[in-house]
Amino acid sequence: MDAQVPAVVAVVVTTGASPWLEETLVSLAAQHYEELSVLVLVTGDEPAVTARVGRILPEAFVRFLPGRPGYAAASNEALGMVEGAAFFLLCHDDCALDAEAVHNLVEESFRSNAGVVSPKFVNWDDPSILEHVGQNCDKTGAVVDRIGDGEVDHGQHDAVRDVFVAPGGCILIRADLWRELDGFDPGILAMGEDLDLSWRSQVAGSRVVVAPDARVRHREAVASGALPLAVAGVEVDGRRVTLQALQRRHELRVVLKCYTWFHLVRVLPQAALLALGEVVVALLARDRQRARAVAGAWLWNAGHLRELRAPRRQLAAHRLFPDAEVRRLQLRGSARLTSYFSRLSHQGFDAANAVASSHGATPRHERTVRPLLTGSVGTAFSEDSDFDELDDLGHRSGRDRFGRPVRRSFLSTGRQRAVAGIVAALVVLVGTRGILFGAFPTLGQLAPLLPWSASWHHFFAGWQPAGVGTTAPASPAFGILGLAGTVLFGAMGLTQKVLLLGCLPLGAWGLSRLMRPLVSPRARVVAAVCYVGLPLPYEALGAGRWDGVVAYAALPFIVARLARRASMAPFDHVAGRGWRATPLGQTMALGAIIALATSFAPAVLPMTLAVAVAVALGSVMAGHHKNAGRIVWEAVKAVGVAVVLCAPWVVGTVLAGKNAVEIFGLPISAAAAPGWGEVTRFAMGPTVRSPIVWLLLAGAALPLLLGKGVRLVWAARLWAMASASWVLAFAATHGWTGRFTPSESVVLVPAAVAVAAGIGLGISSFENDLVGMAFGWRQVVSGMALAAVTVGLLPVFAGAANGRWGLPASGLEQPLSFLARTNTTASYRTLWLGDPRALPVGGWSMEPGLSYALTDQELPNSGDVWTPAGPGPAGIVSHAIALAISGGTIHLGQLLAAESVRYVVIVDGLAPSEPGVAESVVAPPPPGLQQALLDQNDLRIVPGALGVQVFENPEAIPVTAQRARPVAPSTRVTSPGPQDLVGWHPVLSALAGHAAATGGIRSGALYAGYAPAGGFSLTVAGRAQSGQSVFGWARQYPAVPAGSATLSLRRFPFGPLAVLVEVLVWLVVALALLGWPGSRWRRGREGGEP
Amino acid sequence: MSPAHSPGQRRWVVIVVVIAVFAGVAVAARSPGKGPTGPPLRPAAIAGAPDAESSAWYCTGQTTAAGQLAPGSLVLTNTGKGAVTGTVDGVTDTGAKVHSSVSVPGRGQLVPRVPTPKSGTWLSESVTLTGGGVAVSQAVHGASGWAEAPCQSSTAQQWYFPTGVTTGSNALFIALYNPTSTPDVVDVSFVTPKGVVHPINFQGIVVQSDQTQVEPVSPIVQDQTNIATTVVTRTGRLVAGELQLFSGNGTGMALVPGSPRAMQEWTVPQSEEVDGGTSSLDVFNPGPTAQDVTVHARLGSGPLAPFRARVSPDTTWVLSTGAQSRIPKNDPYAAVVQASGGSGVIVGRLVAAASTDQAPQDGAATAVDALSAASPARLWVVPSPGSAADPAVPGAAPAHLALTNLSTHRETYVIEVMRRSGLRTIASGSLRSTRSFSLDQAILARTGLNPLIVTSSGSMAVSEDIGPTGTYGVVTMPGIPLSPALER
Repeated sequence: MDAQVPAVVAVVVTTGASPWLEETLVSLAAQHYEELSVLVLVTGDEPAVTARVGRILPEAFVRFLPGRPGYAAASNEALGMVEGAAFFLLCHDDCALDAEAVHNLVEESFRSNAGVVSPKFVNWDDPSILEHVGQNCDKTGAVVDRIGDGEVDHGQHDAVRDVFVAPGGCILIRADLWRELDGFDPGILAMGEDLDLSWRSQVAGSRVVVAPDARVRHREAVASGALPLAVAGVEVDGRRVTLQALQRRHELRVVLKCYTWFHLVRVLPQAALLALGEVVVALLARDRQRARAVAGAWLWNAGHLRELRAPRRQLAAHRLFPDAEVRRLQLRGSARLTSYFSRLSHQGFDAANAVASSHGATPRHERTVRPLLTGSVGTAFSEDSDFDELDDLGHRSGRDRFGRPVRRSFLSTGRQRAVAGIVAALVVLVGTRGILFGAFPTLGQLAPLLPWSASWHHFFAGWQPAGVGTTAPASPAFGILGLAGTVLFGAMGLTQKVLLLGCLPLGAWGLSRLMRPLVSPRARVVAAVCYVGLPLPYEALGAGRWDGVVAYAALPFIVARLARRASMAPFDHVAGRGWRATPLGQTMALGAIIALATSFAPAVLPMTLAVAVAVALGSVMAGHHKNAGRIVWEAVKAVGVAVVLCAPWVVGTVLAGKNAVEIFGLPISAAAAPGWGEVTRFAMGPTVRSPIVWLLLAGAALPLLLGKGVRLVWAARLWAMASASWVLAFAATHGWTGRFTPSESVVLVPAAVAVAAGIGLGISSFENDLVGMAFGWRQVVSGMALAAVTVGLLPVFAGAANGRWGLPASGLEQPLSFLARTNTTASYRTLWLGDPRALPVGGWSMEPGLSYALTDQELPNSGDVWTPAGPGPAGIVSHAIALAISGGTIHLGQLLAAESVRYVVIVDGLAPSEPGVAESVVAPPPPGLQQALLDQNDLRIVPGALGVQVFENPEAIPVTAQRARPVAPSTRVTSPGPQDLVGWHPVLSALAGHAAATGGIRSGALYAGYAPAGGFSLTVAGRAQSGQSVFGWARQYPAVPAGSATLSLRRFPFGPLAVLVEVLVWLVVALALLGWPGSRWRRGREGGEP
Repeated sequence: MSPAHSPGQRRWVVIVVVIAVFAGVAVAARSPGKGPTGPPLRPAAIAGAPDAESSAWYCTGQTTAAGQLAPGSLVLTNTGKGAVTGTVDGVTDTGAKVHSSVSVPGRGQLVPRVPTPKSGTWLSESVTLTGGGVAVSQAVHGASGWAEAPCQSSTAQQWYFPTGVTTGSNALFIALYNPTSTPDVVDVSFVTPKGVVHPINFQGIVVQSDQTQVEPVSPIVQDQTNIATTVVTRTGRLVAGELQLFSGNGTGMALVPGSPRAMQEWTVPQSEEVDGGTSSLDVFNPGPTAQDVTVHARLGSGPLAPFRARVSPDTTWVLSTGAQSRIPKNDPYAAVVQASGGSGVIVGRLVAAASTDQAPQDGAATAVDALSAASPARLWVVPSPGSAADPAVPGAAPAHLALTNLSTHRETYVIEVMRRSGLRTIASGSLRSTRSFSLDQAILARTGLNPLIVTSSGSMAVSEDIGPTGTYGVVTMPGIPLSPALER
């Protein structure tokens, strides 16, 4: 009787090493399909295979292939060996097919008119676990499964449907199609041949479907690492190419081969960009293998481009589907990126990178089976409905499995939460649009950053020009800026934007992480959105404050880690792995975060301690004393670590004596200080001053009223934290804390964290603590609180319309443009006077509301923003100013002459006020200052400087100057007399770059207004000159010969060496925290590759 | 045990503590703070601390000897123990400059010899001292009479003069002097009984650095019985003075230093209406709003019913005290002028003795302002009209010294004469609030031409009448406040 079914030839490729070969053959032998022949292709040197096959399938054909070809090349041999078959069943030697599998596959091929049919793959050991039900792929060739890890087969994927990739292992393909495609791509040794075949099949006009009724158990022996890949050509220079590397190179090969040129031009740059990002992330996650795999894929393909000509021509000849159609079948966006962010958002950096790094490298059976994630960010971003797990529960139709309408609560799905997050991000983007697309004005702390090299130099230099010069080490902020600038290829404007504006999403993310153990995903999103919706970061941004914005980003992480270190429930689970998960590692990590933040915002240091104390007090108030003391101790330890990490800077600060505390912030005038109401609604700047913000506080009070158990305890802690923050901010701005006046922008951040977290806790209380309660006041209060929170966010929403959060479009760079240095000669200095909030540079306090700073005579830069704690000899300036204010002198110019003060700039607000333009931060200097300077006989008003008052001091001696006669030497601090001021002319170049000051000089006396005077030496024509102290702090060389002179710092480089040690400590800590020693140790223990 | 199972959930403790913190800080925030308000305002003439690094005084309104109208001299009074050196730099309206170095002995006076400028009619001078504690005044004399006034220790952006007369042959001059290194652009306007006058040629006057310029008002604002003058700079700061020459029924001369700001309280420590004479208080309101002004006059026997008026913006209330029946003739009284409802007023006094009295019969002066009365150290120096070797005019001598207690409490006072040998008390006592004290001529005559130092425990208006003149108030010298405590 003629066959009633089409002939199928099962092609099993084996190396002979597979212990599961017999089971594969048994399953083939058991097929309820009449016309099934089996062809076994042996690529290894295992003669026993013939016998093994013969015992089970004596009628099977066995053919040995020499040279250990890959699976693709071996399979292609069947093309020449088989004739008359209608289908090929391409099998691995570790598959076991259900008895009806082939029948179902063939049947589905006819039913769906599909060229390629894939079965449902289940776990070899546990068939209830799904492995693959077809696969998807994005435009860059990244293959992703349609199911989650460890997903249990409840029949939820048992619908026949089109897929993009028929996973390797068992593929039914029409024989004519396979011949037309010329089989697999023989250039693919392993990993990726299924993608290639599926893609080309679809280009040729064939459907690829999955037939879930056909079930196949698949051991995935090679992919899981159970068997080595025995293919020639997978070793390069004796080094084995990893499966991950093969997968990545072949994905790219497929992309290069299957797209038309037009699409390739569009896709390839995107793929390159994604690859670059992946390499960066992999390096950050110390996953060198992945970084190598991604980068190597590009290099390998670049070297094999010629090979692609023929396949491309062949594919073009068979192309029936344009790329646009193919793209429609692929996932939109980047599947890999979406998956990464999904894991990142749900499980954190470690988990995301662990999965990424383990892909194709870790035995599958060793992977942690994680719970299924529903409503992930990836789901929300994906436009493929298959990613919506809820659909499988019947939610897509709006009805449950019993046909009842499904009532979806607000923000219950990942998609909704993602939309909420996107809306919040959009509001921030809209509100920041004017800053994003323009340059920062020179105001507040936003002076232009030093070039990347100068930032490094400033960090390592043993001397900085602050005041009249100091050997105090610079803030680690300069090292961070230098590093960031280096990474961004010297684009310091971009660096400034990335670092500053990046703090906004970072803060929101930090708060989300803080809330993760406490509340539901919905409450987390609400809390994060509220954190973004508080005015504080925008007030700080509008006022040009780095410190406030950095603290906004850092404090949520610090609070979370403090709670974790203190094992405060539910923060008693330690995340991470390796050394970082140990107590010491956690303390080091917390200390590193504090150190990073402190570099830009020194007040973070005391605020960490304040937060710990407040949380401890909150615990005591809530009657939950356990661990109350421990959090303080942990904070002390972490602060200690931070101090060690910033040791040179800290030591330099401490040596400033009583001025040291001013590093945390300078006192503002109590008369201009914000009121209690302004403090509690975060109205510290120009943008969002609406009392409506208080409604957010009302929302944050909800858990205090409704919360139970851990939520009430944490509500108490958060409110204690907020109260402490508000009280300290109010006290500091009103002069109640003496010289300790931390920046209010930083002090208020814990309150912002507490309010946002309190709102999240309120949501959580509503979800958990009202269950089972009859309707009453609690529900009413909850509704009101929710409404209050919603309305409370409106001021920031409205503030976004400004586009700059109140940050003025121009700063002092315009009215003071004449200060820009036009030559390299060290000439003069500029004295800045004004309220600390208004000064565009760092400085030192004279009295509350009046600070001063001394910079080179040029527009400020970042080197002037983070100044040392003590003014050093520049303190003389404050005495002179005080004398002028008290009416004790009319010769202030003369008193400032030795410090080379050519210009005195009084600022009375954050930005120059212009007629018709609303002022930003108004912070006038104390009354009487301007009058005092106007009364000076030797100061001349510089006309035309709008919005600032500038005086010129014609008496100033240039920083390095010469005249015929020396001035009288003096080791005591004195002011120059009238006779000391005449006849000077500037010589030598500036020391601002910390290089030596050089230049030609004439014979006579040479004055050098740099401190420390004793640290400098002058050589003329190579001969050292003797100097003497003048004015008590400067240096004079009374009789120098004519010639080429060099003034340089000659001291043992304690500072630079200390900074170098600091950098090494940072490196060690960073490596330790990133787990390199741990992973090496682990690999070593496991006997893995080094 | 997890918090969820903790039996002791102290919800209300937390709520009460949080509310208590909020309420506590809110209450504390409402209490008046001691926030720094900056240094206090300083009077236009104040002697700096002896240990000051440097100080300066600016004098304007004199003419050169060649100018003849009002040539004069400076009087440098050093209240400190040590000598103070300095320079006197004069500049005339033609730009001619003179320079002189000076050394003022401790506890002494100096009338410096300033070289005669090569050209120019009007002369202004800067006195720059390498220390403090020195008060500088100037005395002028001419055909019309003589006058004395303190110089100014600071520049300002505006100056007010409440009194001026251009009727008949009376001549009024406004002297502008820019001692700063920044050029000035100045507007001068006048308030007359007929309204505000902004003469076009007095607008946008450019006064360069170290330049003096004097504007004759009489030809421009003619025949006005009362002129209040406002000098405002568009840019820069300067010193302004007013020179009034009387030549009607009587003669006289007034050198009136400007007032840099309006104030709520002004005092005339001693005044007297004399037979055949007239006097008035001129209350000038330069502000934008009407102000209620009350003049409290007090005789030795008790207070009089106050005089009240509502003074509109840019107007002058002229209270003719000589015409008020409630003020008896020949009975000294003190007057305190208080303004409310605005930014303050400027008060001057115009005095005219009988034409038969000793010349000069006419004079004008600004009342003692509240800032000068509230001397930071409760110390005032009253310079004498020249030194024994160089009197302002022949026979010049203090006529009497008057004090008026402006505080709300009884205050003590000590009046000392300052000699090179030290300070010698010549009177002391206490004064109840609003009461005045006058030191008669007999005692003052024994002090000679030595400066007086007045010490008080509270705010005190100090003023000295100087003879020879027709009556009290024709030539007066207010006490110049000292900013630090006196070296004793």
